[in-house]
Amino acid sequence: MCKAFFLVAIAAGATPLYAQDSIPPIDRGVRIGITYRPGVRPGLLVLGGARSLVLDSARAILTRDLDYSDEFEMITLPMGDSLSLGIGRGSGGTTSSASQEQFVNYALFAVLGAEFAVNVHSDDDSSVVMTLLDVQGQRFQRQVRMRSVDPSDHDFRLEIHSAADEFVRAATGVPGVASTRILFINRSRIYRTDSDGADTRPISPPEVEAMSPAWAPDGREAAYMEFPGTLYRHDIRSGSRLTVSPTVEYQNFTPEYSPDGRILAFSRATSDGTHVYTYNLAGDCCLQRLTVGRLYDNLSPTFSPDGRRIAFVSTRSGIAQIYVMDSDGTGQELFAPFDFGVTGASHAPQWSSDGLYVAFHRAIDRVPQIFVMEVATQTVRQLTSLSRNSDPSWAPDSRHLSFVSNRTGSRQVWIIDIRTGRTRQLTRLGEARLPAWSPRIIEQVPNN
Amino acid sequence: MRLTVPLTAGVAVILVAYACGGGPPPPPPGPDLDSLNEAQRVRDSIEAARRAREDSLERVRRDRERLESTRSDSLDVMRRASERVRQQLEVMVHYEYNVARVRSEDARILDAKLAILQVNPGLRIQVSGHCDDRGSDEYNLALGNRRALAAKQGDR
Repeated sequence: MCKAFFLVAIAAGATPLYAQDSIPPIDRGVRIGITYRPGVRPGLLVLGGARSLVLDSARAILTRDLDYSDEFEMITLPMGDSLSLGIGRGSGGTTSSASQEQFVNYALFAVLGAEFAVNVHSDDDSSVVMTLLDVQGQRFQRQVRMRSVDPSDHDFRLEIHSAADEFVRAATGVPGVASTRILFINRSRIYRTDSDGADTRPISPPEVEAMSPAWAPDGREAAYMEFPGTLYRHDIRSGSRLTVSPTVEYQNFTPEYSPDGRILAFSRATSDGTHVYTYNLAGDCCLQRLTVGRLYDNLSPTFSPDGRRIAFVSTRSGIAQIYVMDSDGTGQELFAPFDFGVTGASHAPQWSSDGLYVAFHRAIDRVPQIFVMEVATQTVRQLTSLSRNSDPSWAPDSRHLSFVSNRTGSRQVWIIDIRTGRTRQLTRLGEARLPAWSPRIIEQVPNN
Repeated sequence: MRLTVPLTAGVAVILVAYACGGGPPPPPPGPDLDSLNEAQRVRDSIEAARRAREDSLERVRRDRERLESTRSDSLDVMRRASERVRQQLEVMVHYEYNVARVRSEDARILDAKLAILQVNPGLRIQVSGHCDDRGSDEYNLALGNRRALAAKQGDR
């Protein structure tokens, strides 16, 4: 009798969870190419435990990272944080951790719909341990012990982000993108923020009017344009800057590193119009012009992940559209198909790091919207239709896109998951433009 | 005072002679008119010279004022002309949305600028193109450059 009541109670508790899944994505303006099917993603339960500033901070940041990965169905229940690991033997199963056995009620977690559970606890006063449990396999799958236990320490958040990415990798085979940062422009100054919107700070000098930030592949350097048009390489950690020597003349903008970091492609505006150039950073030599033609402009280069092709914007058809060429400038052709006289101007292409997609924005009734083209088939899919959405930049998982949207009144950076259409706001400053999503930051690697 | 003294002396001499009942008195000495006239002439001359000098100074002052006024007017004219030229050179040329060709109605603005440049070969101006907030941030730089080129080359 008691057991039957328990199961009914669990079922009643679980019902709202699945009812939530059937609610359409928050962004009703998003057109989703792949239908979101509730229940497909593995359920994840974040367990409660001892409270302290450090543990509560770590638990909250980790939970948010795992939620933002869009890989899990986050299980939230009333009083859910009362679910925690016990100490001692029970009927559900046990596992060893440190010096004592912990009781884990795997059966209960499974009934709640969890395929994974996450626990954050402290072994002693000087450590924080984060654990991913495989509920179905009834085992500890990953455990990360943090080096930093000071929430005010810069590396505290990064360690948790890295742990979250590791848990995503353990659960899905592909690491998450929590340990990344996004550059953007706020009132002509370059800022950086963590992937969860925390730790936002300026990186370019206050007296400099900058735009077009781009990350180097190692995540330690960024290039950007300083008005009136010189390109700089900026060391993120030290703040030191180097001029890209051939860009001290003319107006140069939209820098983009090749995947090996040796070449910088950019746009240069001269009396011949605007054209795509490359410069060999490794050899500090060999400025090369890749596009020609006095009557039209070519700009915004983006490399394919193998470095052999460059997608770019050209106005050769009379209106800006997305073209592609080999990295030496040969073989130029239309990339993203369009209907002449019907399709609006297309801008800001960004090749995903897996090479499968090129994201860009295209004007619909003169209002830019985010599009994604599948490279293999050259089919184009519209992702947004609500308000103005522009300047997409891929996360290293080739699944999430940062972009600029004014849907809440001012231009801010938002993030969309292209598989589910789930959208969240990243920045909350006066305004934000031209986001650039970093590779994974590997300054701190969590132990295993 | 100098006139009064000789007259008084003459009257005193006549009165003394009548009282004595002697011979005819010598003619009384009269005033020296020539010297009086001369003194007056000298004074008049000095006064005339003073007035002439004052008139001359006044003329110089008026001439100077007139010159300064003329110069000021001239500078003002030049300043106003220069301001008109500057304003003419600063007149904006507007473009259609996402277009870099100069509109026919704006061609006369460029013509007016061209005329100024032709008569002022030493004049240097900066041509810059701008875009509104609707377009892509980075494409706007290319479009702005294209618009500046169109204005410079007179593309219409």
